[in-house]
Amino acid sequence: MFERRLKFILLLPILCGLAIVWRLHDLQIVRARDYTEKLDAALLAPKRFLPPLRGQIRDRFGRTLVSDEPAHDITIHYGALSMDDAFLMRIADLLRRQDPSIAFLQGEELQREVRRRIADMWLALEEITGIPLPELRRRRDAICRSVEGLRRHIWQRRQAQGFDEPLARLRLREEDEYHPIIHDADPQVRTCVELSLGRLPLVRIEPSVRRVWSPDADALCHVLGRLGQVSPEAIERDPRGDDWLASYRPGDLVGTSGVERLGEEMLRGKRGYEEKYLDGRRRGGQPPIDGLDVQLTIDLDLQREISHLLMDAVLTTPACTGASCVAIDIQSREILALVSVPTFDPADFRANYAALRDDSKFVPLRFRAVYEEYQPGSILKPVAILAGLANNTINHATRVFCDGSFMPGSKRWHCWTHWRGMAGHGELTAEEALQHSCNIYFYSLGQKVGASRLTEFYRQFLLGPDYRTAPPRGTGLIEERDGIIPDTEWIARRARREFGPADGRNYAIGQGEVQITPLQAASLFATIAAGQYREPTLIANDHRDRPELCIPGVEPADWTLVRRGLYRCVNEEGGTAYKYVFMPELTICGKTGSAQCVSRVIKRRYKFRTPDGEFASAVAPTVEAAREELGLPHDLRPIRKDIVEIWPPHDPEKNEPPTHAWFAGYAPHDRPKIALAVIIEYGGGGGATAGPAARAIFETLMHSPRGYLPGADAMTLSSTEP
Amino acid sequence: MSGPVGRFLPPLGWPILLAALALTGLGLACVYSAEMTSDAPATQTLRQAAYLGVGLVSLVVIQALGYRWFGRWSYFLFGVTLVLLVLLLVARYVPMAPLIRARRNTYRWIDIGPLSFQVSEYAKVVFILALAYYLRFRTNYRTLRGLLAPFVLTLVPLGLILKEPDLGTSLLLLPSLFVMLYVAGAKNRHLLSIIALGLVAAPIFYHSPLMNEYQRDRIRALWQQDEADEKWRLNAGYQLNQSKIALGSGGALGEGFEHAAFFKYNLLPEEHNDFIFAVIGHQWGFAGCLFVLACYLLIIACGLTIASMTTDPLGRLLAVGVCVLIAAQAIINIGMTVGLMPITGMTLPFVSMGGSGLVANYIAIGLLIDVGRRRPIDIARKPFEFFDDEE
Repeated sequence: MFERRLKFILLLPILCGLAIVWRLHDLQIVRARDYTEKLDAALLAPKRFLPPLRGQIRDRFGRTLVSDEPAHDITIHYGALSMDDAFLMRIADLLRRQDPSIAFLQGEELQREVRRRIADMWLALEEITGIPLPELRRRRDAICRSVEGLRRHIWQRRQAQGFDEPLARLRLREEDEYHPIIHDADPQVRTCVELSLGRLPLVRIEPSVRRVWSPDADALCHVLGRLGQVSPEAIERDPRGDDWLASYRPGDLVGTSGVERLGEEMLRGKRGYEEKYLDGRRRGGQPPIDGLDVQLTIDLDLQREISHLLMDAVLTTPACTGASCVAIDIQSREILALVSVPTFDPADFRANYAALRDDSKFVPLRFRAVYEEYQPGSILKPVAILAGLANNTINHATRVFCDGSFMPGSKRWHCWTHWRGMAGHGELTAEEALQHSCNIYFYSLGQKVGASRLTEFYRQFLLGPDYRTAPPRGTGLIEERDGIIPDTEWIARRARREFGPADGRNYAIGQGEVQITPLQAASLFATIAAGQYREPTLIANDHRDRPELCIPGVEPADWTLVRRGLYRCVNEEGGTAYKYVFMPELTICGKTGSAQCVSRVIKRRYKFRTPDGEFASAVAPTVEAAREELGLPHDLRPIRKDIVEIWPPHDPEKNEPPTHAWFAGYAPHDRPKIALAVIIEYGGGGGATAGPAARAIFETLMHSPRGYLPGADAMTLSSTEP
Repeated sequence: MSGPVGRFLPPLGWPILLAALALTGLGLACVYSAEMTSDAPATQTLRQAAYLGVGLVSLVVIQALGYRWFGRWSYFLFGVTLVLLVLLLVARYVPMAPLIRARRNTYRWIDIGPLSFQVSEYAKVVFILALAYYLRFRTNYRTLRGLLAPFVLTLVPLGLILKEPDLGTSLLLLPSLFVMLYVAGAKNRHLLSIIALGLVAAPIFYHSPLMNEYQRDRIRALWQQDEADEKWRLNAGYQLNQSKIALGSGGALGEGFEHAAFFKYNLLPEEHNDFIFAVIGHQWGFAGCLFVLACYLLIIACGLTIASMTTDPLGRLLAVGVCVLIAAQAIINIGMTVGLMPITGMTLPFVSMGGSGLVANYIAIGLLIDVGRRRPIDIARKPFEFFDDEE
């Protein structure tokens, strides 16, 4: 008998049973608490974010220009966007919880079912919203690219920190979130989506916000800027990236230009969240924290009136393509108006985008006041005088004789009088040279000082790119350009030559390679008026530290001399601005400028090599328009560009386009309050075109109820304080 | 006559039956707890209760007919079962609706009207019956060549069930075969060398195309068991992870009978079939789990005692076979639920939902009880005495 074998057999299940009991003890007694927590987590529905309201942007006096209104986005789970196998499983898990009819499906069958449902969802979305599938697909791909880009960024950073893990294993929280595919869906679409897709755990209607522009905000369209989807780089660089609620997520809207971008750190809020159990009980959450408001230094009324004035000037000047004006409060260096015309309606920006982009003559999208770099022409002459004084090349008594031309070598250089058929200015002091804007005086000055010293001095007025100072200059707007003040390195790199005596002459009259923006011009005259440089600012409540900087080498008497010159230019017979700018009730100081310039190319012939290897060409205002016309992919670069049409056409006599018309100055003479720079593109003579506009603007300032200038109804100028 | 334990125990049929009923009752309670929250009638509970009735009737009928009657018919039944299994195999290639339909791409059920039979569940019992009948008076399995016939007897249904595919059920036949040969007196060294051979072949089998990728995944998932790894948690380890959460959160005494939130949202797939042990662990905790294990131990201990008490070789082999069948199934199922064994589609005997399994298990214990009920024939030769050196 094999009795013992029977007993031995009984041993086996007992041993297995003991192993199971040991394991159960571990699970249910030792680690029970862990698993209870996990159960809690498993019973949670995915978190729902509550969007914060982005801060408002207000003008100097608190009038709302841009604000957020609650809206609703249609969002889709990332798994359904990426279609990654690993995520389909997650989606399958979501689906199975909801729909018991597929609860038994497994493996490939389940995946196929999930794929089918996702495909159905896209079709339904197309039908409900009327947005064509390719567009929806484009949005989807953009989100996926953004998340993948983010993954790569984080991975690279972690690699740099010494972590060694495969890219694909790096998990992001974005992968378990819903991403907006349709922003600001209207109620009808929302209801349809809810009815037909609400069952699907892939689609959600999420509360969000939309940006609303005040109807008066057109005049500020460039200043306010726009929102756009956050880029992976921005997510990676996010200073609040460590805070999971505050940090950017793919699909978030952030300021991409203008003040929306400049004030991003103030305007952005912190999202809240809400967590619920599957049965609807609330587990916890946090309310969103709305963004802070940004108060601009700009006066909306002033901005609008100047816009209208300039637009009139643009429309009445034949060759003119646009204009810009910057008004700065000299004491605080707050920018009161930052005008660039033509403007556009920010609310319709998206709809009109192609037309705005392709308007290559008026380029309405260009933020001229800070972006466009113009030859300053004669408005730089006061700085040249200061340079001469600071370098002891001239003194207050230095006189130069102008007979209408200057012949340093074999070539004759003319004063501007030559072109008008006038005689030379005769013997001039520095003051008189400024008054008459005599080129001969400045040729001689520039030649003596030399291009190198001259540009170095210009640079002290913080014009032009300064390779030595890292902190951002000016207002900090992304559009803002530094202008060009060449130095030896720049001229060697860009023009492949060395400074010569001709450069000094050119730079002294603000021609040649020198370029500045209208904002820099206004800031320059504020500096002259105050005798100190201070950074201009656009935001009243950002508490930025803007120290006042002295210009080394310039004595108080030098300042006085230059200011006298500017005074005489406007207020004395013979001054270039006297005829156009002089006002008996206000002592304006300033300088006209007629800057030689080149025409703008408004049409080109773009030649492409298509992906099939064939050639295609089109005449279009922009390369994008050419691509659209030819139906080419958006990243194909043209192999050849030829100029077809320029604007304005060249003057047949001089064979050059009309000059840019400048006026820059400040008022009043004795206690300067406002500095102003006006430029009218291709406006011709500075005095004749820019002068009247400047006078009109000064009149506006005088009559403003805010009392910017002592006029009929003076008020105190202290409105930026809350 | 037999073991020292057996003599002092009361009649052994009742404990077995009561333990089985307790297990089925637990299973019914689990399903009912999920169904009672909704307004719909508790159809699944009622259906399972009806199958329990069928199982009990079968059990009584078996008492009337006697296991020897079944023994005599065992080859015939085995033949019928093989034919049905072949039919299922053919159905994969030749459509046989409405008799045989694919469910989740497997061919396991034969539908006759509203009733459906899972052939492999009955095949297990018939296989044990036939094997016991084959082995009862023989001695040739004490040679290596003699082992060939029992192995063929096993591998044919095993192969057919494997093709359904139903890996879990097919693998159950092997422990039954080994233990029955062992009890019948096959030589240790033969059995051990076959097992050794199997162990050597296991890695080869693991890498061979006979094994599906998902099956390999499940084995890997067992070793991995890294709950922090999301990839594991959401893919291969999904069921196991959810099952462990259900069990672990049950704690010592359980979340309570009505606490079915975890299952209401379908967080544990197959919760009333393969993973019902996790539901019990969640609702009744460690105590409930111990109770289930105790029930199985009671059935197996009583079964083996019956085996040792009877002198009829058919009865003894049959009793041992049934015990191994129930024990192996319970151990594998619970083992996979707690993460000690790879996940195979295997139900928990007496507890899991499913009619065929339940009825087949009651038939199995019906045979077992009947073996214990029949008085031993004293004049018979004591079984399996070979006057051999080896025991």
